Amino acid sequence: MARCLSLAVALVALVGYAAATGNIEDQQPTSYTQLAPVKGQWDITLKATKTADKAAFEPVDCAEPKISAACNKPLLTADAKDKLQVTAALKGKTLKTIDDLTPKRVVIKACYSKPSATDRPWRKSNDVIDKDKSCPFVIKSTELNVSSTSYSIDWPIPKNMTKAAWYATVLVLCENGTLNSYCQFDNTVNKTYFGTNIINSTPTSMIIATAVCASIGPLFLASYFIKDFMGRKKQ
Amino acid sequence: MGVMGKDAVQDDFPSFALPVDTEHKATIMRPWYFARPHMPAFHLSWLAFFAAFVSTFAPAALLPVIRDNIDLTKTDLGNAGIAAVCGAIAARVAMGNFVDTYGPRFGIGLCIGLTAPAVYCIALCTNAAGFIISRLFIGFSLATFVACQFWCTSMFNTKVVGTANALAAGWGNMGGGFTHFLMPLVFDGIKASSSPAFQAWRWAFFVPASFQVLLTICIMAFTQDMPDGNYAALKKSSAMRKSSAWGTWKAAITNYRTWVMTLTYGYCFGVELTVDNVLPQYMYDNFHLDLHIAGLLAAIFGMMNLFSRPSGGYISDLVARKWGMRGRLWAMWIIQSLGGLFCLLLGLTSGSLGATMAILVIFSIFCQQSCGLSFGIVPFISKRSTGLVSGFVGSGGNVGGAVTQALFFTYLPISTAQGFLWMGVMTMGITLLYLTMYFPMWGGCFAAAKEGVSEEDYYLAEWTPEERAEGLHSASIKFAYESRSQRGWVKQAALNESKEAAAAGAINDSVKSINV
Repeated sequence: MARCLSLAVALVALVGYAAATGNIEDQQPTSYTQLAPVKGQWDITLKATKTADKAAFEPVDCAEPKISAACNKPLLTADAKDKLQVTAALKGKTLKTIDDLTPKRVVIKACYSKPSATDRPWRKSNDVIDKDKSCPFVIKSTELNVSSTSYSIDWPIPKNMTKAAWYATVLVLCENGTLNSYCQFDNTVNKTYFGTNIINSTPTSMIIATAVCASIGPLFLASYFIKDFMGRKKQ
Repeated sequence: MGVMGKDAVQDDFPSFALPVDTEHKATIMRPWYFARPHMPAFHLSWLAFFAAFVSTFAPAALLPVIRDNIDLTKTDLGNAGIAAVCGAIAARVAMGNFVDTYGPRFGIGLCIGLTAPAVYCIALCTNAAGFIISRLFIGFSLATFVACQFWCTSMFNTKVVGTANALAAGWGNMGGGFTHFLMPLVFDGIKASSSPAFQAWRWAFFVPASFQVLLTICIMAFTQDMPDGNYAALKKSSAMRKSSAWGTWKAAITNYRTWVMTLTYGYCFGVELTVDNVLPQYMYDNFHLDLHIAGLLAAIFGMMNLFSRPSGGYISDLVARKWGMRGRLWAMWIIQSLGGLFCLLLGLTSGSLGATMAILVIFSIFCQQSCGLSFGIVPFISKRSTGLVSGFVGSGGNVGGAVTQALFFTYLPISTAQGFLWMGVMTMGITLLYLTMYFPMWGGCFAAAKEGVSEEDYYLAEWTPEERAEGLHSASIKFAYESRSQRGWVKQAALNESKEAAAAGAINDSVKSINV
């Protein structure tokens, strides 16, 4: 009885811990639809460098890409060596935000294209920006500099990036009273995409280790049965 | 008190470390004992089943990483989950037949020894097809369940067989929860040694695979099939006689109780398998938790098996003491229906993590208790085909898992929460079948036992007159005698009373006739 009680207390504590460490937002929810009136102020360009070719290329502008389509080639490999250069430049001199809020921060993200999110609810886009699961990678997050109208970064493709076609999104964060909220955005949907491929995740050492270890169980059983059979034959 | 050697066969006056009955089965169940031959068989059988569960559900624990590495879709994930449980459907039936013929030691040893390579090889899969095939072959290891239950039934007396079976199966099932706790930790540890995530998850599978290999060696080296020795030695000495395979099959498949239990077990154990498959992803995606927290919370469901499934077996034995088999059947129906109800409620709490966890804990208790209660009934369905009946019922669990996974979490266009709701409804419907179970010597839920029908009549009916003439039914005679405990003391007391009254009446008559 005492053991059951202590288990129950531990479970309640675990649930409380889980609730406490769940997503706690210090941001006011905003949707892409709300920000539509202030869209279109950024020129976002994508350039890429593949280390093997030691040459830069620029992904071709295209709409609704599929992974194998020409506009995604060459694929960048997720090995932290191939790089994507993202440049976000303001078209005008100043940035106009929703409700004329004061912009504080610029966040550039890589987002899954529609074909790469099909039949994958864990990559589903959502109009509410904080619930949008389609932009898992932050390329750059920086304080907004009033004297600067251009933000650029050479982003090494991380090793946990999946095989997919992506577009870039620029999000601007503003102060809204005591909370932060998104106040402007732009993206390269139906304009420019880049494609990535995963790293080699089965090195030679893994193949050899698998072959050796996988044979231990069957070899033991085979030798056991042979020994048992020979023993019974002698009897 | 000594212990008989593995290959030696029983003398007339054997000595065992634990108290035993006429079949030399232990009459007490103390999990903290290690006395040979009963307790090593118990401990290694549940550990082997535990290892099988860890391996089978290890991919589910790391799905958020695996699905990105090999570019899986929701359909691929659903198919892989179905493959994992489908692999064991035929394997469990085959295992039932195998253990009846070759014994549980070889059954378990071969099962986990030959599926360990599949666990190692999942590390090399690079696409959806490879992943699905790997999960299919790993799923074969769930056939250890049948051998585990058969072994416990062979080693433990009818009065404690429910508890023994439920402890072994419950602790084994815990592997399905433990893996959600273990695998993310192993994955993180390997990643911390500078291995990329997409390689780290592959190396992590070496842990459960190596555990399986270690257990294979221990089982073959340290255990025996029966209290009196191994199958091979017993058959050689004619202590165990080989009966007709068709007769064994016929005894299992022509008994409607086999099919009732097969279907209903699909909606307690099958539901448990499905929840083990979908819960970590549900926690991760629905409540936006990170991999560790999602795994930890999902692990609670499986880890409840530590006491919930054994408590089901204990409840089964407890109610049987007073009400016999009728008590077991009623407890079975009530608890499994409650499991279905709480599964339904789980589908209604998707907006709140706290409510979900509270309902999940209660749901896991009832779901797993009903699994324990099931195997308090299964050993009594047939003595001749114990292994085969266990195999059919066990595979029914996997069929139920495959059906519920396919229907509610893969192919129907409903959310996971709605899937839980409808799965609960279906569970409560199928569970009504328990009300049709009837043993002529003990009764059923609504009908009392038939007058004049004994346990011997039921169990010996599985043998033909020719087989009885050869003495092949001797084990069934012993079992029938031991299973009289399933009458429950209420009925047994009534029987004793009527016997005493009959005896007193006979004495009076004889006294009268003398006086006359």
